[in-house]
Amino acid sequence: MTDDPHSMRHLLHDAVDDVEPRDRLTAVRARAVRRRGARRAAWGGGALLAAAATVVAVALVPGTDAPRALDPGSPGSPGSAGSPGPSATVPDGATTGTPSEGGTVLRALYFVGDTPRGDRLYREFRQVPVGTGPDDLAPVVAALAAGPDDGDYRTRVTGDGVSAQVVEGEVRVLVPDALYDDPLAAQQLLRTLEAATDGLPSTWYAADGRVGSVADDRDLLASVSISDPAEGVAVSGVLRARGRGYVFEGTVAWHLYDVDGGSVRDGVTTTADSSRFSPWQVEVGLTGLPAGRYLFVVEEDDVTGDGATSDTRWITVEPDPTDWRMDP
Amino acid sequence: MSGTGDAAGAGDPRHWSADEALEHLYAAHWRRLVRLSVLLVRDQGTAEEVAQDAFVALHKRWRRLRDPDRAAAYLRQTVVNRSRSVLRHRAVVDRHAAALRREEPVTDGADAPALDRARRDTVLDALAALPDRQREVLALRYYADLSEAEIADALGIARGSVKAHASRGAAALRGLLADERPTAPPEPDLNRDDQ
Repeated sequence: MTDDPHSMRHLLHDAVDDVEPRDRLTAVRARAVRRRGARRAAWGGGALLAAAATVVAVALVPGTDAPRALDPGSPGSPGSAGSPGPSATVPDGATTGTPSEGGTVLRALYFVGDTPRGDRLYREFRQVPVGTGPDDLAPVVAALAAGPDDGDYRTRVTGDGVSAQVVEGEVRVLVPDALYDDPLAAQQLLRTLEAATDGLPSTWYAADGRVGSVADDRDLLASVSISDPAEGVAVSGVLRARGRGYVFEGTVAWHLYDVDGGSVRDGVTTTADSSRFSPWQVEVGLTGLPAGRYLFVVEEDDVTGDGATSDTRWITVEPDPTDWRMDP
Repeated sequence: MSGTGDAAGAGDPRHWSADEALEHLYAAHWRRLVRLSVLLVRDQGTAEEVAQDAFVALHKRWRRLRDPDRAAAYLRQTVVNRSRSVLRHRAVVDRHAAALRREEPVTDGADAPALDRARRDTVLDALAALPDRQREVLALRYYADLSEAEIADALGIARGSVKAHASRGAAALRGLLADERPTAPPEPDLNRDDQ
């Protein structure tokens, strides 16, 4: 690198070369020791407090008190009672499904959620009415506009003025002004349509001739998310949870809280590949838990203290008929 | 300071205890991390607090680090994120402080060190006026000497976004400094990725 005094590198180095920070090693040591002592003394209390904060935050979101569960009896619904578990009904990477007898098909819909890095997209699997043909995407757009099941998410796609067609091997989406002025809404639409067509490239076109395509995952997706279970499903025996993440060292922390905010299970799992978005999965034994509603939470390891991206699902734990230790 | 590492493992981060890691990494990176944070938050005292927080956080989770060899990258990432957090939470205070700093006149006939400081303050003020991402990318690229891929990893954004922020940030910085310097710095080589 040249030492050209006008270079950007020289400019920035010169700006701070005279900064001589005070020695704070003693203070760092003292804080590290205090933190260690405090963690030992208040481990349970701290965890409960954190759990309570999580539950309160979720409870304040309209709709989460009474989650709009998918029809638990319909074939293919995630985590339906009596099924082998949610993971059996939402195959990883599933973007299209076989139409059910009820005229619906499993679709991955992308919705907007809050993260410490701003609004990002989360994926929700839903049963969506089958269209008039494989290229009829109107039901998917309508489902997106109708909004998410998970009360922590929201949609920025209204559906008004949106027209999507499969033409020459790509999805062409005509969008209204309101959508092309909202890049995340446009991406919400494109991601969903791309998933609904098994990965056909999607492009949006505006009336004034502007075009746009799918943005990079890292600028768009929440760094960790739950694909399975769906919001509000009933589970017994074992909760098989799965999702995707691109997080520091691939570490995904998970927690299961009861309705009072008490932590009943927790642990850590890892993504398949820490260098890109990749799947994670975990099996949580539910044996011995009282029947009732529980909150499943995954979050990235908050290595920087800047706030961790997380995703949550309410589930209902049902009595496990094979658990002989439980009272009748 | 307690430690469990023996002589053979003293140089290998994988054998360090949390306390040993703190000692080693502080000695190696403290000054550079504070300076990096100064580029981001402008104020040295705040930068020292940010760097201090980063070392405490590292100590806290040392045993859970999958790859202790990347401890320096972890510290750098923590400093960048905490610097951003400080700016968000103290935006009003910072704006007020910056306004006060700008009102401080540089006296005629000031000596060379004072002029040096004024020149450096001009650059820091210009950096402070950039959007967060542009400032972070420039600092990581041209002060921390990270590659585009490393910056993308540290900031959790795409490489294409790094390139865009670097280009826009450099252009904006040149514009801001144009009034303060007889000649603006030349266009940096944004395609260079040889670090």
